[in-house]
Amino acid sequence: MIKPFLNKRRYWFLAGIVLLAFFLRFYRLGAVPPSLDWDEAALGYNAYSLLETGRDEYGVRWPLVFRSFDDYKPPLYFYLTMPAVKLFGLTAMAVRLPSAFFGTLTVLVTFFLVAELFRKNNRYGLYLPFVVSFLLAISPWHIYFSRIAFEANVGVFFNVLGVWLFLRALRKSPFLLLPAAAVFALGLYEYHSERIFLPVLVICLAVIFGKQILLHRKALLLSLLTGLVMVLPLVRVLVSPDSLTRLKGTSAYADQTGVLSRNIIKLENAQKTGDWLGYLFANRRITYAQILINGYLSHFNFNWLFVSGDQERHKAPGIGLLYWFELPLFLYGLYSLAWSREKRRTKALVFAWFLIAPLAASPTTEVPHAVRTLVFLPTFQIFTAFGLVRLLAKLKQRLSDWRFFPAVIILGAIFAFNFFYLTHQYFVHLPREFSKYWQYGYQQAVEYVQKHYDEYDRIVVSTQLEQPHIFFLFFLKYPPEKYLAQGGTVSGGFEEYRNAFDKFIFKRIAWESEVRNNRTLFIGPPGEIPGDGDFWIDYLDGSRAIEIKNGGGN
Amino acid sequence: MNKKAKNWLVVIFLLGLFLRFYKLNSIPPALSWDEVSLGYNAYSILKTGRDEHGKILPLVAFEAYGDYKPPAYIYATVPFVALFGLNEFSVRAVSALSGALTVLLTYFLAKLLLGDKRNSAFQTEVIPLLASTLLAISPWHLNLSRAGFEANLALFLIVLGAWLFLKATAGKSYFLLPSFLSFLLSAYSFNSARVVAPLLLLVFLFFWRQQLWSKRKWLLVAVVVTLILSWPLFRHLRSPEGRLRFKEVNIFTSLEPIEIANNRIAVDNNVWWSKLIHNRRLLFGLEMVRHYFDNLNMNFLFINGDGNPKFSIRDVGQLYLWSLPFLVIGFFALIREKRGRWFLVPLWLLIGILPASVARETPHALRTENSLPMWEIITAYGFVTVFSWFKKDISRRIFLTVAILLLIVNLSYYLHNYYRNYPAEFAPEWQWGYKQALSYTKDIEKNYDKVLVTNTIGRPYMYVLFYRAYSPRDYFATVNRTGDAFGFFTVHSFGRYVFEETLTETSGKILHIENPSSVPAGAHVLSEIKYPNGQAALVIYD
Repeated sequence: MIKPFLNKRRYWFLAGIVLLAFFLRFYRLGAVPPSLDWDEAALGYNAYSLLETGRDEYGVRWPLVFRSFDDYKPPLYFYLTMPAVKLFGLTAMAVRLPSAFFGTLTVLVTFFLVAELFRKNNRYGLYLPFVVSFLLAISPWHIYFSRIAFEANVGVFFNVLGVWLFLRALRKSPFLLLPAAAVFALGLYEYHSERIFLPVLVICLAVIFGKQILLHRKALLLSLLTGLVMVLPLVRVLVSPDSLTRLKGTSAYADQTGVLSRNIIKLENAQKTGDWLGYLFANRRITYAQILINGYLSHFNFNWLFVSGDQERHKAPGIGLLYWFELPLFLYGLYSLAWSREKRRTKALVFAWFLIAPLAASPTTEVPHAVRTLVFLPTFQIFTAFGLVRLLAKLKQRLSDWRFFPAVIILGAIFAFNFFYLTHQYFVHLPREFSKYWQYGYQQAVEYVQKHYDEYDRIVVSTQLEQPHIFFLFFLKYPPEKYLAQGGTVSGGFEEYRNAFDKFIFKRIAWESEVRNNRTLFIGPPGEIPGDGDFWIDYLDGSRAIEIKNGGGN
Repeated sequence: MNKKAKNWLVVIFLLGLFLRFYKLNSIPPALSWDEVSLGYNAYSILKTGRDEHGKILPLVAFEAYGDYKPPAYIYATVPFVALFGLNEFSVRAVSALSGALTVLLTYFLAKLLLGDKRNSAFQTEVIPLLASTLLAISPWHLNLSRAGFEANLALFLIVLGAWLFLKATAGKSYFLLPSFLSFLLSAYSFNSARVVAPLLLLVFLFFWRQQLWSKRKWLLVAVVVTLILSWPLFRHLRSPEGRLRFKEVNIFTSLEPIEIANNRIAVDNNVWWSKLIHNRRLLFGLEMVRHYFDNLNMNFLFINGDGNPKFSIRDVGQLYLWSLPFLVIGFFALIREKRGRWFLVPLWLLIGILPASVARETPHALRTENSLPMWEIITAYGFVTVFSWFKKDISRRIFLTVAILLLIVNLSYYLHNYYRNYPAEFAPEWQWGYKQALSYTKDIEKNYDKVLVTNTIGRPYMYVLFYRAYSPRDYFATVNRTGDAFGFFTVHSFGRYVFEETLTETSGKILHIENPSSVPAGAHVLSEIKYPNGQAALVIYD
């Protein structure tokens, strides 16, 4: 009944799903989440700076790595933001636009990827692409990150596109391997964790489809060459000491003494008793391995996935990364796909993708990490869709019609509730409850400053507000050439107090020892500025965010 | 059961016994305050027929520190105290013995649960044997078997009850009565069994409802006897004391979900549907789910184990990392192959975790212990499944060798750390120090008018009672104690022992057992008690 209908109106359905994805990603894009976080402000201002001067905030010409807050960001998202900033000006919406745009496109390409993967499946092959792309369109995980300027989200697009091109190449035209290689190479420019994930994924593809690729030696060679040439500029950047610093900063092994404190005691014990086994077991490599495995396994935590989610900036209040209703379907899908009569290679690819997704995040601190493992998508949706389709088929086969339809309606109601709850929590309650995690208040502070700009000679902004210089640059739309002429950013470290431009000075405020007069304005958090300010900005839940005070008062 | 399997089972049981009793006296390094309390109450029952509070043969709960300990463990300890005196061994023996017997029963239980005509002879024997081997060496079960944990006795009784039930349905109807009694007794052993035992029993009754109809006479007898005998427990649980303990640990006393719900409803202008979707019950439900899933956390299960070093050594998970792949595969294979009463295995596991979902501290190895030995049965099933994927003899040999080698690495890593590093590293967690101090002062304290013992390590009066085997009658005649609003007791003094931070009257000769930071300068130090790692634990001076 549904089958011929779906077949005929295939593209109408697909268009509907993409439209839904578009709506969920673009509706009030500049207003929810309620404000820009520092990374978004940095992406935006640097793109603006590139547009105006061809240099980033440090004055580097067309960088392949952006120093930003000394976290050395990958370059591609900055360049993708340039057209958006050009078109829509330096606004929150413009900064988030590439992520939302590629997020929507990912939903579309996922459809084609799944269609390609399950092409041979006569029973479910028709439905699966629809269900998977629909689940991705409404996925909390994907919606969260498509509505924030996140490099990782564009990375997912490259993954899906690259694998789809690869599979098409094997079936249709081997020379599609070229664009596949190009897309994979571009992915390396997009996000840190892609630099581990993509090479491993390519190796997996090579192992799984080895026989078929070797049939097309010429295309293979050409595409490898393309890929290598495209990656070459990156190699220089990657081995530079700066990027290595970043690597160390996020590595779980950086804090040697903390990690190994128990080993040291055990080693001393073993030494005292001459216990060779103890010597062996207290080896630091065993501890390192445990940390690695722990990091990897931490991503298979039901709470993190379905209940409590990641940190506040990566979720809606009270909702995890996936819907509750997806849990049983996901487990059932995992089970039924593993034992299905699906093509071996299809199964291998889906499972390999799923299992290598947490690799890049494993050795880092802060596990589980929803951004570094965004590359999981869309495998969760594939399993869930498989489970759902199998379940419906089974119910249809087992139950008579008058029982089947009520069952479907109940399932639909659970799903609808979940979906409604997400949109309600996201659009209504997220801004209020989470505004403090979104560094809310800068825009309002800058508006105040602009109004009273002429009344002051010095404007001191506390670095306790975290990277205030970039927010002031962003919201003032401060001309980059003027900024660079004053020296640009000194450093984006956390304890940096040397950044300054125009009348603005960014440092810690020590109220008692500051030079205070009524030509100086102080902007800081309630803790640093005593008493009531002359003006203040509240978070959306009513608690105090920023105090602004004339230095002439007491 | 063939002869070969029987021999193997004997070997596994002996291994289980050995791993549970070897150095039981000294590892874990000291008796925790709960252990000394269990021991002394058993001693008091033995000598006077009364508990430490002077109550005659308490039936449902020992008041103890005010935490109302379930009675079964204490009564079970009485014969050991009678035989071996008041020492570490007799307090821990019940737990260790129940642990070893659970290992034995696991074989029989797994055999009955997964018994199926389609099983090969290999599957019939090897899965149960492997399951009981895995339990014999399980870090989770070993840690809990080697200290006086009531939960471990409760687990044994539940496994026994389940096995007797399966036996009863297989023919011997009169086994129903002991089966029910065993479940009931588990509820008298540990709190979490009060949730698991009835639920499990209901599940069993439901799935065997047809067979049970033909055994309705015995069923009626068992149900009536059980109901009558559970009456005192019901009354206790409904009493204020019984509720108090639950209040302290459960998540429903938190106000946070209520505040969040009210806030959200207010933001939505109190519309009717907002009151539905932001219902506080939904948020509490979510909290329960969150605490439930906490117990399936990978770090807890496979990497570091329970955060409380009394339940885990923090070097390995509750389960061996080795078992992870077999557990996943076994879980799915069990569902797929549907052998015997397969569904009871995952169901039991899920029920076993349930008590922890309403408690604040999660994950919690003790409150979820009743999910054992299902983990082991699933792992064993998975192992045999993977083994059967290898068809050639040579590949089977390679797989077995590698798998067994890796398991031995896991096992020896655990055992080594347990015996070599654990006792020293976590001595403070086991209230280490009182015993050593008290044995030092044993002969000299008669020269003093008062002995002042610090409270900092916790419940010193019980350690004095325990290690002096103090006469319960004398104790009861001279004790001075007060209770607080939460129902806990503070003992201030008895006999010549005083347990205060500072002494008001300073007349007479006083012997101090103090923590090192509060020793006054110039004190005449007699001895310093050190933790195994060399740090000072207690100082004795006069």
